[in-house]
Amino acid sequence: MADSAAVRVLIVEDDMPTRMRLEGIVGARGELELVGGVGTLAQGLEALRRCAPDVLLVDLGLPDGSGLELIRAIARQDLRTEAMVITVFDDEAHVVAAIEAGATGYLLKDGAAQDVGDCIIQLMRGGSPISSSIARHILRQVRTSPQPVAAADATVSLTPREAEVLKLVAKGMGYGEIAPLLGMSVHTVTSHVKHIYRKLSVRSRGEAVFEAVQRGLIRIEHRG
Amino acid sequence: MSIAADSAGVARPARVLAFWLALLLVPLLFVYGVHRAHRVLPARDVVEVREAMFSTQARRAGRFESRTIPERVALPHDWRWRHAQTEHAEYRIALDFRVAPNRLWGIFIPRHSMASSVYVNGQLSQGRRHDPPIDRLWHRPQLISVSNGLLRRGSNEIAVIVTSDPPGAGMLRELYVGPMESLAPYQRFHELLLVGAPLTITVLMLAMGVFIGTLWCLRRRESVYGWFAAAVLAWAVHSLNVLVVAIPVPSWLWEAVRFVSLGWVVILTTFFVHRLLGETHWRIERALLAVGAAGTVALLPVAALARDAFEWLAPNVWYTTVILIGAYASWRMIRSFVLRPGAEVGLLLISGATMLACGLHDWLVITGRLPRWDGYFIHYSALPVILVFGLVMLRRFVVALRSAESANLELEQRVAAKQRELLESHERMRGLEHQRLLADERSRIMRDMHDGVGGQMVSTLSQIEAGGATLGDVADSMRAALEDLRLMIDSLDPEIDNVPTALRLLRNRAEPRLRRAGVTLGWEVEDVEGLKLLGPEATLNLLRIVQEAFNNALRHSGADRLTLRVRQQHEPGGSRLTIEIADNGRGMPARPPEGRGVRNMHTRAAALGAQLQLTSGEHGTCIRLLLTVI
Repeated sequence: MADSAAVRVLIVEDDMPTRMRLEGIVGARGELELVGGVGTLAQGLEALRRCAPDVLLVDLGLPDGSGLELIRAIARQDLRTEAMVITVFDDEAHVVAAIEAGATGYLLKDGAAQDVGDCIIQLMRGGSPISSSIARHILRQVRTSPQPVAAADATVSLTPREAEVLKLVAKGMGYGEIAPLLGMSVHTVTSHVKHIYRKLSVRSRGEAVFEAVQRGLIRIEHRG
Repeated sequence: MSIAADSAGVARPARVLAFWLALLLVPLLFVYGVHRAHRVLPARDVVEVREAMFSTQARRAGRFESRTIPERVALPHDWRWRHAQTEHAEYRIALDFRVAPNRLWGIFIPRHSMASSVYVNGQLSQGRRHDPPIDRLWHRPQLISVSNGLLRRGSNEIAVIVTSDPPGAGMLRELYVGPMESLAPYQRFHELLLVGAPLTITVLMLAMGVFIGTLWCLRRRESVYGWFAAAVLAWAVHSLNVLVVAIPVPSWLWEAVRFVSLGWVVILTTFFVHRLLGETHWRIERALLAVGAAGTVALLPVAALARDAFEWLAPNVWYTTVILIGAYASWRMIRSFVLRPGAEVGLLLISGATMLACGLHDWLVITGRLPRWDGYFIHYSALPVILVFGLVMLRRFVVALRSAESANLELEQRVAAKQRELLESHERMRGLEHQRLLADERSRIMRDMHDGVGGQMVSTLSQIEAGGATLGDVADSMRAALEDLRLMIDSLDPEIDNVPTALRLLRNRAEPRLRRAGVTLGWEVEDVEGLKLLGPEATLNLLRIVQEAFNNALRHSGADRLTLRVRQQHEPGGSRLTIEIADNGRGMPARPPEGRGVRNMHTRAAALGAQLQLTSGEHGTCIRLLLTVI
């Protein structure tokens, strides 16, 4: 049995072997507690509502809909759940769609057990993973976005620090390499990434009220 | 320039009829108008003197002596026919006033020839030279003021002494005696008619001649302008006859030049007409030149030596010939107009006919068939020529402008069409290029699938079927296939276009695996950001070589340390890049089995245009890739 501080994890994955593998990994780690493993969107929504997990591991291609619905449901239901998208490749298309829906991390399906567990725990501590291609995608978007013309225009604006982190990631550097370069801890680097993810999701989120509330909190000056 | 080339407008019957009417009426009305202008004379508050006592005079030592007994003559009076040799004559006029004039009076002489002095009651009121050179005042109206009190109640006598040079050209029109204010407006009018108008017309004509002559200098091909300018020049010379008072040459020469210049005006105009109509008449032109030259050569000596003969030849032969040449030119224009009616030739014809009509009038005067009171009209006939020619030139200018504009417009449209065409073909080419690129990329991806994942899966499958594969082997194989797929995806990112970034990506993927295997990765990569790889294919080849090197080291070397080195050396003509993967393992066997892995590395190095060196010893294996990058 997990203790009360354990991170409660819900897995929504339609591929049985993958789900079982992930369930095995989560179940094996003392810091993690598996609260459920389901294979459809409907079941996922139901489980999410019922258990309110700390972390949701979700596959995007579910038989009865997109996993993005599940990620969006988190914001709609005002849950504190962190969503991680389960993906075969860490290329931009899948992961960025999930991040814009509100996910703050991703897991590679074939990742080693140790890595998967570490990744979930790191996420709970405030750090998000990022790949070089995702960083490049975000940089492209920020570069092409015009300056905010009105308060209602929620363009992603990065702090200079965040931009530097992204640029180094885009060059293929790992957190361990970036941290000493920018004179910060690895943890700070990962939390920068998480902030960036949050900005992306706020921008893409449709709910105007939510956006208006959030903007005041996350609005950061846009430079370069 | 030729009329034939641009017969303007469509000739409608009504227009043609109007033209013939105009051709008939305009010259007649013009001549009549000029005639009427000369008859605008004082009628109220003045005494019109219509008769005088005429006597020829001889001049000896500055004094006049009557040569003939005074005879009563009617004014105007021309002594040309009865006194052809007479240089001086006196007209005595008797005037009776019942009341003495109490204001300033004057005597108005609309025309006389050539110079005259006027005596009122024996007192000189206006004096002129009566000895050579005689002023040519035949085209100047005279208004002579009479001193207050000179005209008395009762009988008065006015004497007008007229001198003619050449002799026999003397003439006096009727006189008007009256208050100055009644006479002055008429004096001004006749000044305008006899001096102002011819002067203005001549200046305008000369200006046009200079303009068109300049045009001809710039466009020598258009000889029509040259001939026009020449005719205008001759015209200006002829006009001097009415404009110059004090002639710089003897009167015989002046007279000869006056006749000859008019002849050349008509000859040159005929040349102009020929070219204007686009016709060539070499024989006629040669004949005209011969006539002109003969007339010039003949008239000058005759005028100098045989004045009587000149007086007869110049009007009757020369002037008649000139009129006939003018008639010929008019006929040419009429013929052309009948064949190809057009506005330009029509207008020019009307102005030419006006000129001819004036010439005919002058011919009648000069040959004694009409009185000389109104003088010559030819000087006025240049006015319609100026108007018409100015109009024609303006029209041609506008037409030229318009055609230039429309040519420009057409050019612009053609350029635009061409541009459109080019754009379309460019788009088409781009589409084709795009398709080609897509096809290339597709075939490359297919090739990569075959080389990588496909091959791996087939080989794994064979192993499984042969029963020789453990689950661990299969997992390894599948993991390798996934890694290769990730390399492919990375290689498709257009922003991974330099060596360090590509290598870092590989490192990020490989590091967890190496760590789990207890191998540390040494990273000695110079920052060679500027080095661009040659597109996705080259990137993938490079990454696969390094990946293969990692895999070999993991599988076979037993090493616990791997080092990746990248060095760059600048050389003329490019940069030499060395990528080195070294392990600290046991090295390869003396004769390593040429496995698929090593063979693949060589093939991929060749595709990269790189050199692959494999060294192996007891301190480990080193795979070195030498690459030249521009």
